[in-house]
Amino acid sequence: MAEMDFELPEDLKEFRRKAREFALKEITPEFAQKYDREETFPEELRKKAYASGLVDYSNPWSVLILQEEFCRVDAGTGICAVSGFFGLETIQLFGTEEQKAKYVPMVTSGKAMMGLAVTEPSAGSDVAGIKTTATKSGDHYTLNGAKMFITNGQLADFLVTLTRTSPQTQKRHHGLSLFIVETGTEGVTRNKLHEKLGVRATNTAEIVLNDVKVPAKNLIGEEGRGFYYVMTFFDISRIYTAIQAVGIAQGALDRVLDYVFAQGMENLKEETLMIIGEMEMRIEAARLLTYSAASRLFQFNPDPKLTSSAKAFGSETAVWVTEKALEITGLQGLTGDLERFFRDAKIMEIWEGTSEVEKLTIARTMFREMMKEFVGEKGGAKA
Amino acid sequence: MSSEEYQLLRSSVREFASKNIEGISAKIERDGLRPETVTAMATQGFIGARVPSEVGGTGLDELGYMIVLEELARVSPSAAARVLVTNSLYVPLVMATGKGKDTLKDVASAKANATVAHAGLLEGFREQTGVTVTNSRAQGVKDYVLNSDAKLVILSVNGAPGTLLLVKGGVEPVNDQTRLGFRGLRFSSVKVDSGDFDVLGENGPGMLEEALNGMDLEVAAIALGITAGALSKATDYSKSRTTFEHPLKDYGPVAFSLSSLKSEEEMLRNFIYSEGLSGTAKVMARVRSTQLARSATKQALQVHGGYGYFGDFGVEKFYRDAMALPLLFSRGGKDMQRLSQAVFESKAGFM
Repeated sequence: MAEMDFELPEDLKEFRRKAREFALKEITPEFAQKYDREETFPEELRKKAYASGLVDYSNPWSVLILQEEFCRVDAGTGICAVSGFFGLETIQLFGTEEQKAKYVPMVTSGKAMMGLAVTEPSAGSDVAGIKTTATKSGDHYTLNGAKMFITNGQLADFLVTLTRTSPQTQKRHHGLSLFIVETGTEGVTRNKLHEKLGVRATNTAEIVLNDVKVPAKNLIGEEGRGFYYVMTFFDISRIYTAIQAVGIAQGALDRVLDYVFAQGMENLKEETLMIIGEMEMRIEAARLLTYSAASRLFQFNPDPKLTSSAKAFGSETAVWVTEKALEITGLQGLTGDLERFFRDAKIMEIWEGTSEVEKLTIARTMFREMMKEFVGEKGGAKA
Repeated sequence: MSSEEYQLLRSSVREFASKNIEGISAKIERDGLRPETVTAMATQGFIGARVPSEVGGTGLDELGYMIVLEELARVSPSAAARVLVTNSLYVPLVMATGKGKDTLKDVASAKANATVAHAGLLEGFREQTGVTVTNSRAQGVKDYVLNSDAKLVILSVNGAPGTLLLVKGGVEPVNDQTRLGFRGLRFSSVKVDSGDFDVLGENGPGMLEEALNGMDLEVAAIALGITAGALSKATDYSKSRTTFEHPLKDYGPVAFSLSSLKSEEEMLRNFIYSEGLSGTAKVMARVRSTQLARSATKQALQVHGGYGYFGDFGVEKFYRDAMALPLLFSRGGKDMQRLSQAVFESKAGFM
């Protein structure tokens, strides 16, 4: 029988070393603190990351490891450096050849940035509750509505935007469509949102769409299928969130170990040792869960149960580890990197699906699978 | 005070806080507590809450003082911390020794600001610098001072044990520190170069430790204020916010978690305001209330979803302050050892 191998291949291990080296060199504590305090986007860092050749979208594992290592040093600026592609998979999977040729290279090369505009002021977890409309007339659609908490919103060259193209019926998930909206189009207004608790270097905006004319050729996939495309995308992006959370948790543990080491091992108390042991235990579990979900996804066989488990467990791990890290390091943590890690960690439980939504997804997927099996068995018996 | 008087005090502090502080609580986080807000708090008698009335203070008893802290913390934990530093650190240290009492009046009326450099006793403190006295001049730098733009600073000088001084001038804040919570107060090192000081006692660290241990119920009151403020926002939000065509409150996980946290809050409130609590009960109250504040603020933020992550909604400050409260005013493992000592009736929890 073949053996199961949990090890990363050698070239990825080497890639991890390079990614960490880059992050440690470019994202110093002072750098991270400055962008956190000023709530500004580190465009120079993003450019350097692309120029270094580390950002390689043709190899999803490398994107995963890159996010882990960057967030381990600093989540705010680290996410900025590598998330200019946010939403790209919707075009890669469902877009036309023309859309792929036009939009994919400009993003993967780092020349352009994009974002995904799904959430609205009154619809977050409840994606199908969105109110933005797209009305067709001739060769274009006219979009009206408002989008909220859009990552890269103010900086993106285009936004993949979810709209309602036919009135809501009993089947709320029907009648939604995705469009590529170039942000220079007349009627697009973008307002930066300020005073986030954490990941403050990242750009978050409110987008107002007022009679925005979008060419019909910018429709992604089929009209009315937008909800399903977005859900498919979340099964991908949640894996990136999970690994960002793992990176944050690992970075917090790194700092706790440094602190304890500097304090002198002879003063180490049992209660501290046990917490450190538990941090390591939870982080490794979160990492393995994430790699396992990623492995399924990257082989085009995603398992929503695994993906949502990785995302919820990873983010809860990040929150737990950063809290405990502050307890152990006290005043040092309160005034150093760790207070930022604690603030950054909390978003992981919220964006890309709250922990609550993830847990519901896990359970519902299980029951769907049971139903399929049940129907399958009945079918079998009949035959 | 009678229970009616406590009730009256609570409603008047609540009214003041909602009129004068709630609306600017986000601004306080951004720009700090403004002098006019502090003056308004002083006029109400909050800044001099524990300063005896014969020297110009309010002379509130402990329960009355806790009510002030709790009600301020409900809208702005920073405002409560400003009152706490004055009344639970500065006032008892001055009152214990009888020296420096001439400063009490100005502090109570907010003409002078007073603080105490107590960080040396906290977990994670690394002394890089310090203050020494030579030829009747106190000179040096004290790190991690909360409310550091104070004119009056109580600090322990270098040495074992170091003398406790009340420095009355020649103090300036230097090197502002970023930190997680209580952003309404300045937090930095202070540079001291002064010949104007009173010696409050010979064992500075011991006296500071006593003051920190003596504020169990006050820390608990702030923790409960933070809890109440956060839960009330989350409860309101979950009544008005709809998801999947139902208000959030109609979902079991939302309603049950908030209700369960609320019940803990109310039980702890009944507990901490009981008359004549033992020392053990007070440590218990501190430990449980600070833990509750952390879980309640975390859940309150979560219920708000993305909105909770932004300053506008006023929840994230509670989350930060709930975590910062024990780090700045409690002594982590030392508090647990005090609690265990009481439970085991002997040394416990350390070798």
